[in-house]
This record gives sequence, structure tokens and C-alpha cells, in this order.
Amino acid sequence: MESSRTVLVTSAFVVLGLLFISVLLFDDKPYMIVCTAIMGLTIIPLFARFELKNIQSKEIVLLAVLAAIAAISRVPFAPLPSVQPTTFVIIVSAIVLGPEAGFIIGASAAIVSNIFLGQGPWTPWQMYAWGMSGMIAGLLRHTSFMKSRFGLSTYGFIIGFLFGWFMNLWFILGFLGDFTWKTFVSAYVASFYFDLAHALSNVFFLYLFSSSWIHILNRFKRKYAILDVA
Amino acid sequence: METSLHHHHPFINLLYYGCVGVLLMVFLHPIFLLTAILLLAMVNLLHGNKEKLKKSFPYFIFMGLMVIVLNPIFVRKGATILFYFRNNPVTLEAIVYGMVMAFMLISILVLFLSFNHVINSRKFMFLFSKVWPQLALLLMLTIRFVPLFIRRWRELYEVQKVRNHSISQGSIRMRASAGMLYMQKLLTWSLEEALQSAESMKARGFGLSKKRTAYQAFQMTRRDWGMVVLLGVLTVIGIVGAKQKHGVLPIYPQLGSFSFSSTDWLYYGVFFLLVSFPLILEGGEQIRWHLSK
Repeated sequence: MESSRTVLVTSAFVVLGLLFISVLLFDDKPYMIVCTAIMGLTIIPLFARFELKNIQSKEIVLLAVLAAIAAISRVPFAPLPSVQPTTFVIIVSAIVLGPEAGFIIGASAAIVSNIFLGQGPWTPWQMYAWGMSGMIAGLLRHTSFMKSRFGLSTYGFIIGFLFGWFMNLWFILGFLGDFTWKTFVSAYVASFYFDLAHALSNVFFLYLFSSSWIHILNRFKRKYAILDVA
Repeated sequence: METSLHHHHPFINLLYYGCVGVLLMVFLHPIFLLTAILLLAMVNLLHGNKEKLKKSFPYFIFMGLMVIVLNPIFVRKGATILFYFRNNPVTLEAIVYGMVMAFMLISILVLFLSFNHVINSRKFMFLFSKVWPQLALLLMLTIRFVPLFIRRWRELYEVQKVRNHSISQGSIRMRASAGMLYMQKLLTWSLEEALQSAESMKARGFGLSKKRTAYQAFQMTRRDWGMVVLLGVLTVIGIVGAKQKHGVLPIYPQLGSFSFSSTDWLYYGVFFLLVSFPLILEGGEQIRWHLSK
């Protein structure tokens, strides 16, 4: 996974450079353009890597099953407000299968669930948010922090908030005018309870079910010799 | 109902939605955007998408209203102060800007409603597999798994209900854990079966010929290429015009006049022509049908 790490570091620098260029080039409100450019620059290399790799059909099938499970897990939990295990499924799969698989599962779960729930301007944002929550979990999977149940739940908690904060952006940047720091923060305070519900449900699922799901996925990985099994 | 737009090449469909989306974002003028909402609603009605339009429109209005209300609260720019809200000035400009943005949001949402109707999963896959075949296969499998898994989920649900392991009673905690156990069963069941099929597919030589084909073949005709040029030219004219501030309502620092100059009318015509493209196609087809009888 060394190459993934260099990709990540490089893209971080590219993004930083983009931010500087945008400050110099635009004086009006570049946020939307910059955001889209950053997302594009991160998403496209990852998809391209997946495309160029020589992947067996059973690996594609495995990714598809997990993405579909992540996508439909929004359905049965609909009666419980703000609780959905999609993020949980993505994180757990990333821990077993690695950062790229995590990204692909997250991004395709977003596209596919929106094919059934309706595509909209939010689709690329969800793809990015879920893809990244998978990728970061995959990158950190060998750390002792992520191996402990407590650490994993903490990660789920943080991701719950980051996901909500990121998804606020498409609405705010796209359809509200520019504003000051103070008002920006107050807009985020308004979404606090929704983000909290997402974060707590992540903690709940990860704390209780992560070990059994990781066990199941590891078993399948070994049984069918899938992805990075030596 | 399938309209004339449905029968065109998926690339033409995609191009139409892309071009209209771009022009909706550059022509920030309430009259342009209101026209677009009306035309796109008509396009949806033409598709026979009436039920969906009726069901989603209240949500769209609600989202639009949120933008209209939130924008003046957050933004203090603008010269004309109407009143003070909690010691913050609420300006006319911010309200009008919020309205323009709300119209843009609604028009884009109505556009997506038509998009979802015209670009079905088959066309979506056709377009996608041109660029990223491997990813397209992944998405195609995932899309197919969704209804299958939902059916299996129901089956699990029925069986477990008989055994009194229901997700419809008890505390939220109990319901959520029961639901998760269902998901776990669904996971093992589906993975086992899917991977066995994949192994047998591999054994039969699936994927040996690298070039994959689509279920339905679409061919670009000369007429289609003409439409590509037409849509492209209209969009470029629109973007150039909007860059020169035609068809854009001047809002900050002070609200300008809503009235159109003659050049604005020209760009309005271009915009109108592009947005009503599906209506024109359908109309043309109807006329040809009646003439041929």
C-alpha cells in the first residue's frame, strides 16, 4: 500500500497549490469551483487506478456485493430516523480489503443507492464523502488505534461528523451567497443533531458488530483468495 | 412514456442535460430560470412523469424556500436595507439573490427528474462503459444486486418474524441490533452465492476477450452529430453571452433593472431554444407523423 500513500501525499500538495492559485486568480467566490476541482482531482486518479489494475471477476463481484449491501442498508433502517449502517459497511469493508476497495465501495454505494432514490447535485458529494471515509479507514487499518474496538468506534464518531459537515457544503456553497466565519459556524450548529445521530449510530454499529463483520469478511477473503492475500 | 428524446443516442441525452445544466448555472436571472422551470416541467409532463413531478414538487419548493430565507440571514451585502433582524441588516439584494439561487436549485432538481426518466440504467451503463469498462461492470453488478438483496431481505424478515426476532418492536437499540443481524445473514448468504457464481464464471472463461459489449447497441447517425453541433453551438453562445453579463441580473452591490435589452432578448431566445430541445424534437416528430398520413 506504499503507492497509495504517495498518491495521497501528492494529491494533498496539489490541493494546497490549487487553493493558493484560486486565491490569486479569483476574487469573487471561487469556493464551488475549487471544491469541484479538488474532488475531481482526488476521485479521478483513484478510479483510473482501479480501471488500470488487472482485477479478477470474483474480486469485482465481491466489491459489488459489499457496495450493494452498503447501498440497500439504507432501506431497512428507514423507520429509525438518521440511523443508517452504510458508513459502517464501508468502514468495515475497507478495514478488511484496504483503502482502494474502501473507496470504490463507498463511491459506488453512493451512485447506486441514488439510482434508486434519485440522482441529484448531491451525488458526487456523497460519492466523495463515502469514498473517502472508506479510503481513510483502509489507510489506517494497520495502526493499533484502528485495531482496538475503542479506536474504531472513535473513528466512526469522527467520520459521522465529517460526513455531515462535508454534505452541508454542497448546499451552502452552491446555493447560498458568501458569508463570514461566524455565520458559517452557526449554519453548522443547525445541523448538529443530525450529524450527532449519524456519529452515534456509527459508534453503535462499530462497537457491537465490527468484530463479527470483520471476521466474516476475512473468512471470505481467505476462502476465495481475494485481493491482497499472500 | 417514451418521447422522441428517449429514442435518441444516449450521448445526445447526456449532452442535452449537461448543456442545460451549464446554462442554468450561468444565466442567473429570475426570468430565465422561471422559464426554464416551466419548460422543464413541460418536458417532464411530456415524458408522462406527472406523478413524480407532483410528488416531488412540494419538496423542491421547500428547499427553494430554505435558500430564500437563509440567504438574507447569512449575507449582509447589498445597498438597500429593508429591516433589521436581530440587529443584522436584511437587504433587498440578498433576498433577490436568494430567490435567483432558489430558482436555480429548483430548475436543476426538475432537470434531474427528467434525467432519471430518460437515462435509464441501460443507457447509463452504455455511456459509462465507454470510459471505464471495469467500473461499469462493477456498477452493473451492484445495480442488479440491489433488487435481489431487497427480495432476500424480505424473505429473511418473514422467516425471522415467525421466530419472534422482529425489528418492528422493542427499543431502538434492540431493533437496530436485530436489523444488523439480518444484514449479517444477508451478507454471508449473498457473498457465498455470488463468489461461487464468480468462480464458475471464471472456470467457463468469462472475461477472456477483453472487449465487452453493451446489451443494447446505440449508433450515432449523421443527424445525431448535427444535434451535437447544434447543442454545442447554442451552449457556447450562451456561455459567452453570460460572461459579458447578458441575461444576468445585476444584484450586488445594488439591484439592477429586471428589464431586457435587445441583446438580452437574443440570449433569451438561445436559452429558450436549448431548454425546449426535447419539446421541439417531439413537435417535429408529431408534424412529420401527421404529414406522412
